[in-house]
Amino acid sequence: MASATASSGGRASLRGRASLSGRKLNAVTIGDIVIIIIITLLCMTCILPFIHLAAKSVSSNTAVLSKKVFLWPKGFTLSAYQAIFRDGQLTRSMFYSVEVTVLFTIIGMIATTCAAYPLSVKRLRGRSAFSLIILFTLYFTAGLIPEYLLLQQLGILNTMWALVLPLAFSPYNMLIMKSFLEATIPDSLEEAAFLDGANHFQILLKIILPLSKPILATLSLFYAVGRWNAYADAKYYITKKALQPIQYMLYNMILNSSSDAISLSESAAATSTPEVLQSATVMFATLPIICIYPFVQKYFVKGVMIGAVKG
Amino acid sequence: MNEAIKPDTLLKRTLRVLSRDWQLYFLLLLPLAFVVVFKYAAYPGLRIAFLDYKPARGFEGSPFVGFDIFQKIFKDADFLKALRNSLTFNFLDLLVGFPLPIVLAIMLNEIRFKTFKRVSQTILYLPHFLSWVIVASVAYALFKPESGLVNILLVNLGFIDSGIPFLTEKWHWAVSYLLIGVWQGLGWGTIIYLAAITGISSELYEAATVDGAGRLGRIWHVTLPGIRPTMVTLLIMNLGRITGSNFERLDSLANVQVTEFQYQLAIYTYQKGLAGGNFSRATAVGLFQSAVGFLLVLAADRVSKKLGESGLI
Amino acid sequence: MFIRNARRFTAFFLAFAMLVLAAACSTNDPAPATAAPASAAAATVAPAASEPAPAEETAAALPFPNQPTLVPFESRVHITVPVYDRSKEGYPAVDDNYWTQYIQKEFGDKLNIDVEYVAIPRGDVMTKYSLLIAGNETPTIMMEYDYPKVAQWANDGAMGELDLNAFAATAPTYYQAMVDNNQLGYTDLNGKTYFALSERPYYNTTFTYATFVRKDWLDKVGAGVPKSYAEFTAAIDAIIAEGLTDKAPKGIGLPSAAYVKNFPFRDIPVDEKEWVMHSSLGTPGFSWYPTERLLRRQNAEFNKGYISSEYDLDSDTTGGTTQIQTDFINGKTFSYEGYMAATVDWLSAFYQNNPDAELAIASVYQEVEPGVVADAQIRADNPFGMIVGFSSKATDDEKKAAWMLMEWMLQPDVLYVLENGVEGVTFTLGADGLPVVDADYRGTEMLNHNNNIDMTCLVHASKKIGTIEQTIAAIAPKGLPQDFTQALIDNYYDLKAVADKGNAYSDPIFAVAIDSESEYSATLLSLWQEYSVALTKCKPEEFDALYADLSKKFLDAGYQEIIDERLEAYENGFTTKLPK
Repeated sequence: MASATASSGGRASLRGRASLSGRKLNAVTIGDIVIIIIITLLCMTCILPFIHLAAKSVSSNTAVLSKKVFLWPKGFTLSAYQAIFRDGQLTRSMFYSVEVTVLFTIIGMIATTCAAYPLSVKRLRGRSAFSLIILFTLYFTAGLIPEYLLLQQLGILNTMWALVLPLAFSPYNMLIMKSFLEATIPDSLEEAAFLDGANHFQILLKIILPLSKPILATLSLFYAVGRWNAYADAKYYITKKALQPIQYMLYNMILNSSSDAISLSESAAATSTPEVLQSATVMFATLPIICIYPFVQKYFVKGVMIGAVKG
Repeated sequence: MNEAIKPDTLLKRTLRVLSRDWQLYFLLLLPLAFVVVFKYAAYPGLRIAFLDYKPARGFEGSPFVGFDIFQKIFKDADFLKALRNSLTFNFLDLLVGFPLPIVLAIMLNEIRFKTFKRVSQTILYLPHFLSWVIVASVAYALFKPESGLVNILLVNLGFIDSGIPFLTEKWHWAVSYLLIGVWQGLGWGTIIYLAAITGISSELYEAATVDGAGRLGRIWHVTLPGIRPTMVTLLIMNLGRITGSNFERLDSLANVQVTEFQYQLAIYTYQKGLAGGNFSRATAVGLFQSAVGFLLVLAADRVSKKLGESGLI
Repeated sequence: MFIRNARRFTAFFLAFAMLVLAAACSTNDPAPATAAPASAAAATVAPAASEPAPAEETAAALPFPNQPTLVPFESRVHITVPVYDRSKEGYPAVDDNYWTQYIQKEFGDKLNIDVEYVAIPRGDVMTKYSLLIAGNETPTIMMEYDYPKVAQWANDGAMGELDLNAFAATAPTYYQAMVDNNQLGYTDLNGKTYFALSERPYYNTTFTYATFVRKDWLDKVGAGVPKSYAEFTAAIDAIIAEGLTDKAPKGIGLPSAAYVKNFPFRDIPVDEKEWVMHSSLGTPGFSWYPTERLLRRQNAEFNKGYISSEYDLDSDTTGGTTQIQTDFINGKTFSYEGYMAATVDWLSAFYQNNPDAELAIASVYQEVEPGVVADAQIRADNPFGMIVGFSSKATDDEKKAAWMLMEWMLQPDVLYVLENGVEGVTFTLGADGLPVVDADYRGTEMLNHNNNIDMTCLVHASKKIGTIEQTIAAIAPKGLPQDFTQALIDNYYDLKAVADKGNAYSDPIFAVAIDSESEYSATLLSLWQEYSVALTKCKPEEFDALYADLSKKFLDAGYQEIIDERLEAYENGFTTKLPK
C-alpha cells in the first residue's frame, strides 16, 4: 500500500522544518512578485462571485432583473432575508442539515479512525486483505438502483439515516488518514507503548489521537463539506419534505424553476422564484459551512500546513 | 512464511496474533460492517442488469435476459455519444485538473509572507464550500451571453461587440465546464499536496541550496520528487473515475444548446434509465462504468509498479 | 450579592428565552399577531374535528348524511396521495400543512382513513414515481396531466385496472361528472380500463394564457393591434424604422419542448391521418408541412431583422428568468406571453422599468395570411384535467378509500373551503357574494400554491368562480397601472369564436403505447432544436434545399418509425378522432 501523504523524506515531518535556506526575507525577487500576482488574481476569481451574490441578495428585485447590480447593492433592502426567516421550511431545513452534517461527520470520523489505525500497524496480520476489502468498494460501486433497493430493504429509505449512513465511511478518507499515521507516528513509539503494557485502545486514545489532531481536523472538514454540499442522494432517497436538506431545497428552487418542465396541459400560473431571493437563499445555505472553517483553520495552520509555511 | 503450514503451528500462531492484537481487529469491525452492509450488500442488486426488470414486477417477476441489455446499450447511438463525451471530458479534466493543484501548491509553498499566504489559502478554498447548484447559478449569472455580468462589462469596456456565449455554445461550454471544475477544486486540491510537501526533509532543501540550486532547481530536484508518491496515488485513483462523471456538476451546468457535449453517461443513466423507468439499463451502465474503472485502476497500478513506484494495492 | 443576583437574572432570562423559543417553534408561526384571530376562526370552522369517531357511533349515523356511499371503514385504511412539490419560497411543506391536516380531520378521521400526502418534485415527476414504485411505495393514487406518462405506468404494471362499476358505486358524483363531460372515451389503454378523469373547465380555450404587445409603440407608428399578419409586419417594420428599440423586436427563444406552434399553419380542415401522425407534445412534428410553413416565415422574419441573431442562446420556457423575459421587462421587445394570475411578476417588473409604457393583448388573428394561414386555429387543451389511476399494489379497501376521497372532494361545499380557505382569514366576500382570496396572507391557514390546486386537481384542473367573467376577473393581474380584466374577457370570447368554428382541437391520444416514441423522442427533440435554428438562420434561397436535407435526416433518426407506429394504431382504432 502506498500512501497519499507519505513522502520520500520518510518520518521527517515531525521534526522537518525546511527553511528557505538562509535567504533573507526582505529580498523580494521577481519570482515572488509573479507568484503573488498570480495568487492574487486567482483569489479575485474566488471571491468576486461571492461578493456579487451578496450584493444581489440585498438589492431590489427590479435592479437585479434589469442587470444593474455588480459588486455593490442597488436599492438596498433586506426583504429577501426577511422572507427566508419568515419561511418556516427554509430555516427548519437549515437546522436539520446541520444536524445531519454533524451526525455524519462524527460517525464518519469514528469509522475512519477505527479502520485507519489498525491498518497502519504494520505487523497486523491480514492487513492487506482488509485494506483490499475496504478499498475495493471505492472503485467498484453497485450504482444507484441496487443501492436504492438495498436501502429500501434496510428500511431506512425516507429517513434521516439514508443521508447519514451510506456515505458515512469513506475509504478515500481512510486512506489519507492511514498514510498520515504511517508517515507521522513512528512504529517505535507505538511498540514502546505496547511493551510498557498499554493496550491498543489506550495507545489509540492517549498517543495516536492527540498526535493526529491536524488530520482529524482536516478529514472532519472533508466529511462535513462533502455532506453539506451533496444533494443528489436526497433527490433519490428522500420524499418527505421535512427530511430534505437545505441544498436540495435550493436545488429545487433554482434549477426546477428555471428549467420548468411544466406540461402544457397544466395551464397554471407558474411564477419563478425571484433572483434576489435565490441569491439570499444561496448565501443563507452557504454561510454555516463556511463558518466552520475558521475553527478548523487553526489546526490546518498548526498541523498540516505549518510544514508548508517552513518559517 | 516459507515453511509448510502445520495445523498446530497455524493454530498457535493465530491464537498468539489474536491474543496480542484482538483489539485492533475489534476496531476494524465497525468500518467493515459499514462496507459490508452498505456496499457489498448492494452487489446482488446488480443482477438487474441481466433481467428485464420493471419496478412494479420486482426481481421474481422479471425474466432473465442475459446480455441483451448490454447488447442493446452498445447499439444505442445515444449511449455511444455519452460514452465518448464522458471519456473525452474526464480525460481533459484529468489533463487540466490534475497538474494545476500541484502547481498552485508549490506556488503557495514558495510564498514567504505568512499573512498573505494564510488569507489567500482561505480564499482559494472558498469555491469548494459551494455546492454545484450554487456554482452553476453564479456561473450563469456571470457568463450568459447578453445578460451575464462579465459579458456586460466586456461590452461596456469595448473589448467585444457582442457577448461571448461562454456557457451556451458547445465549444465555449466545453472550456467553461473544464475551467469551472478546476476553479471549484483547485484550492481544495492543494491541501493534500501541501501536506505532502510538509513531509519533505529540510536537509534536502539545504543540501540543494549548498549545491547551488536556485528556486526552480529546488522545486525540480527536491519538492517534486518529494511529492511524487502522492501524485502517483492520486493519479491512479482518478483513473478509476474516467467513465464516471459528477451528475450534480453536469446537471446544474446543463442547457439545451450544449447537450452535444454535456450528454455524458451520468445524464444518459438518469434520462434513459431513471426518468424512463428503465432500471435495467441504468444498472447495466453503472456496472459497465464500475468494471472499466476497476480494470483501469488495476492496470495503472501494475504499470506504476513496473516503473518503480509503490503503486496503490 | 450583585453577582448572585445577576446570575439569577441570567438564569431567569435564559429560561424565559427558551420558553419563547419553544413556543415559537411549536406554533411555527411567522406572524403571531395576525395569526391569533385566524386560528380562532379555524376552530369555529371545524369544531368536531379533533375527536376521533368511535366505531359504534359511526355505525349508527353516517358522517356525511348527503353522501351515503361514504361509509367508515371497520379498521384503519392508509392511503397515499401524490402532491406536486414546486419548491416555492414562502409556502409550507406540501406534504404536511394546514390543509393536509384539514383533510385528515374532516375526511380521514371521520371515515377511519389515514391520508398521507407524498411530495412529487414538479420538475422530476417520472423519476420520483419510478423510485417510489421500485421502493414498493407506489402511491395509492397515481396521476398526471400527460397521457404518455400514465400510459407508461399502466403498461409497466405499476397501475392496476379500474373497475368503473365499483368506482361509480363509491363515487357516483365523480362518475356522473365524467359522463357529463363526455370523458368515458379516455379511460382505456390497450383495451383495458385504467383511468378516471378530472374535469377541465373551458378546456377548448386557452383563456388563462395571454400575449401582451406594446400598445404605446403601435400608437407611435400609428397602427392598431395587428389583426392579420400583413398588419403585424407593417407595424414591426415601422417600429424598426422609427428606432423604438435597439434590439430585434420579436422575442423568441430556442424551442425547449417538443411542442411545435404550428396549429395556425395547418390546412382547414386538417387531414385526420396526418393529425394522428404529427400532432404531438411528445415528439416535434418536423417534416410535416405546417412546420415547414412556420419555419419559412420565421426564416423570413430573421432575415428582415425581427429576430435576434442570438435567439437560440436562450430557451423559450415560460416561467423562469429567460433572456426573452428580461428583454421585454427592459422595454426592448414588442411582446411577451404567459399564464395569468393575480400577480404576474414579469408584468410588475415591466411597469416598474417602463412606467410610461402601455400594453394590449394580442389578437388571435395576428397570424392570418392568405395562402399560408387561412384562419386562426388554436391548440385546445385535453377535455380532461388529471388522468387518475390507482396502484396495482393497492388493496380493495385502499382503492375504495381513494375513491371516497375523490367523491368527498368534489362536493361543492368541500371544494369551496379547499379553494378559498377560511372566511375573514384567507378570503373575504366581494360585493357579488363571491370569495376574493387574499394572496398575501401568510398565516397558518394560508392556501398552498395557486389556491391548493395541487390537491384539488384530483377533481378539476382549475378553480371555477361563478361565471367565466368572474373566473377571469379572479385571475386577471392586479395592482398594475393598467387593468386587463375586460381585455382578457374579450380575448376569451375571441378564442371561443375560434373554438365554435371547430378550429380549436387538441392532439390525438393513443390507447396503446408507442414504443418507438419513448426510444427516440429525446434524440429527436435535440435534433429539432438544432434543425429549427439552422432553418431560421439560413439565407432564404438556401431554405428549400436545407429543409429537404434535414427532413430526411430527421425521418431517418427515428421519426419515420414513430409515425408508422402511430398510423398503425390509428388504423387499428386505438386513437381519438378529430372532433366533428
